[in-house]
Amino acid sequence: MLDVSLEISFEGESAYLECGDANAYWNLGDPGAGGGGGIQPILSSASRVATFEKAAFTPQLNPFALGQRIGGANPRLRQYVRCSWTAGGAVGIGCGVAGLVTGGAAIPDCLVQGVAIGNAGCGIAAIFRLG
Amino acid sequence: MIGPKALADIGETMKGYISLVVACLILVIGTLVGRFFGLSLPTTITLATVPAFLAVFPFVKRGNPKISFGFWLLAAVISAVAGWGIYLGALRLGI
Repeated sequence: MLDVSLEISFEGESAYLECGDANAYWNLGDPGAGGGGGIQPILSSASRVATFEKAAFTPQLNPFALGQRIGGANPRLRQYVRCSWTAGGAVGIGCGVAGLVTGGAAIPDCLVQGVAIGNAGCGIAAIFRLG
Repeated sequence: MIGPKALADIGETMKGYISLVVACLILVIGTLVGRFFGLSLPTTITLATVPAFLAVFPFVKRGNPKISFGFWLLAAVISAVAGWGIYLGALRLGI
């Protein structure tokens, strides 16, 4: 069975990679000095020599995270989707409650204008790359 | 030839859209102000959208004269509070 637990630590100008067995370390070297190419086990006397094999990690998608699901890898689109559904929900609550309090005749106008302005604000914020 | 009455009518029609233009300007200026002062995204959105929502009131009032400014103001305040509630709730749930 492949143990993919992996830890990278830094001490001074050296980086240490721990993979699998807690007693097996490799010195990654100093990339700034041209090192880092050859991985040398520096402490392996009391352990098996573990080998690092290719491992892939896939982010778990939250079914309610619309920004992740619709925006995908585009951060601006993710931000826009998250912002616009938040604004839409807020306007729905705001117009609904205010409409109930004051009689409810103007809820559709309020919803249309509120959602339009909320989306425009989120779009402008996404264009200017805020947040 | 366009007479003075037609010009007056055009001017009257254009007046209804001035509030829309003002609302758009408020959105852009609010966003730029938020960016200039390094405010967070929800703060900037609130700063830009609430005044823009209030500024668009005359345009809506032309289409639906029954709307009162009290309703519009109440809707803006509740929407802003609800938006922050949704944002903080989503942040806490990791959505």
